Amino acid sequence: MASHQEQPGPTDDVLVRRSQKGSMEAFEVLVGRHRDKIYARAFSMMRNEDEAVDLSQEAWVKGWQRLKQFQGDSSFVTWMTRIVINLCLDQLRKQKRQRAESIEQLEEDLGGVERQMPTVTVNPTEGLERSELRRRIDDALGKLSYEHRTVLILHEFEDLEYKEIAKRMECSIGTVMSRLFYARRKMATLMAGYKREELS
Amino acid sequence: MNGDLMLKVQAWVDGELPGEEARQVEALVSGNKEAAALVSELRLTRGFLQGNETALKVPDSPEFYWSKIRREIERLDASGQSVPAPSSALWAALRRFMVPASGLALVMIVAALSFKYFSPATFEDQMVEVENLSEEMSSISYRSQADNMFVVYLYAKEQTKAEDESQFDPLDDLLFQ
Amino acid sequence: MSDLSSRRRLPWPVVTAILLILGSPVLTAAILTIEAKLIWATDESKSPDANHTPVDPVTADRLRKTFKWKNYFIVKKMTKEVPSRGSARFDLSKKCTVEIKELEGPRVEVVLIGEGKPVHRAVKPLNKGESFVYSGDDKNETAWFVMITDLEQK
Repeated sequence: MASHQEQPGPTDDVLVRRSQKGSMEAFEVLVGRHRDKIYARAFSMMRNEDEAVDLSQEAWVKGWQRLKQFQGDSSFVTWMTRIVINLCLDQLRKQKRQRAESIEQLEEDLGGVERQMPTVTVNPTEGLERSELRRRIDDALGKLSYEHRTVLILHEFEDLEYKEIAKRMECSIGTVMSRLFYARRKMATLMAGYKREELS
Repeated sequence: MNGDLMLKVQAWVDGELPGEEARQVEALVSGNKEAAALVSELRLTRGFLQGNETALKVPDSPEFYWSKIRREIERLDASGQSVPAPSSALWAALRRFMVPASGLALVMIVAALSFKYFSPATFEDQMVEVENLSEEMSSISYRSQADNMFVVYLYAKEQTKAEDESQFDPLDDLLFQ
Repeated sequence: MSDLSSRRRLPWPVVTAILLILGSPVLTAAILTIEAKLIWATDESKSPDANHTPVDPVTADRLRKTFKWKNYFIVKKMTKEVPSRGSARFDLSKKCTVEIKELEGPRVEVVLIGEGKPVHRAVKPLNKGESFVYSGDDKNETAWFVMITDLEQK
């Protein structure tokens, strides 16, 4: 299978056009090139390796089926990312019915706790090596509820606007705003906590 | 600062506020320490998040990962998966909803479609965009010219599927007499 | 050509001004006065909820011509102004909200929100006297409607 690291090869545009005409070989190259990114997005939302593998593979299959609808308005990898995000959101909705309420969810339901968190004024990431920073961010993301983590991912990492997030998460814009606010404040507090532990 | 104001400050930081409101919040932030501290924290958080997601790799070997995708694509292609045909229960649901005489409404749907071809200029003025925002619901739209109403009828997708499975009972026709 | 030259012509600044005014989006901007009604339809002669009132006869007639129920009751009625290029929210019940936004044209964007979640969106031109209606089934063979009308064009 073609490695995504072999460069230069045909561009994504060329591979997409060939795939749209039915070339499985071209599509295989696209999968090889972007599989890690699509998997990473699924994992960030699901926080489970097996689920992330399944959903990312399902996204690729859907991508193949819908290739003719891809118009090139965005990059191919952005388009694929949207597909895997929607699949993850569907799965999270199904799971929500069975999932026990997390403390974060209860905090959200009660409302207001994020307003009482002290403001973080010192940069909690200063001096950190990038790998350590990423590890802490990932750890902190893992402490958020699914809803809070999802809205943070969609806004901060996927650059979606409130309206678009509301549509995808099937909630109101107000809910997006309050979840995002809570998630950001919680992240800042957690990162400040890691810094204090490091210094103590 | 109350909760609503904090959310507005956030929206301002995110560039989501319209012109006048953005100016008001900007004025508030410049004169209020608490607001300014919040802005600083929100920007700090955004700053350390950007570009710092953990880069992950698919845990399976490339060949194994691709093989499952390829098998599924081949299975779907072989089974000839296509867009499902309109449900007959869909029309049954619509008929239950409407007075029998406004099979007229169904005519309106056809008329609206054919209008496109006979009067393209005026049709453009009358074009309506409709969009389902819920995965659990579907909709049918139609215009009743006689009563000057544009109607969007919403129904649960599961309702249609269940009715398909139970088969439409032709005796229902008698109920519409 | 001789026909044209013999006609009286408007000075070009006047022509330009007329064209600018006619083409100006300001002319198509509008403050809308929108009435939104949540209506319950039934074959029963009375609603079990004493707060419901029958719709006016003209509206009842219109609804009866299209829909099969005999009686229609207003659950809630709201009238609000939708500012030019702005929006207004109509909370018709705990489970039903409509957001209306005025767009250029004038057209309106109508978003139906059910139990806090967006359900449907439509963008359409405003036609004189026309009502925009969302409808759906309710329990025991009854139905609900959200009827939206531009009062200034009634």
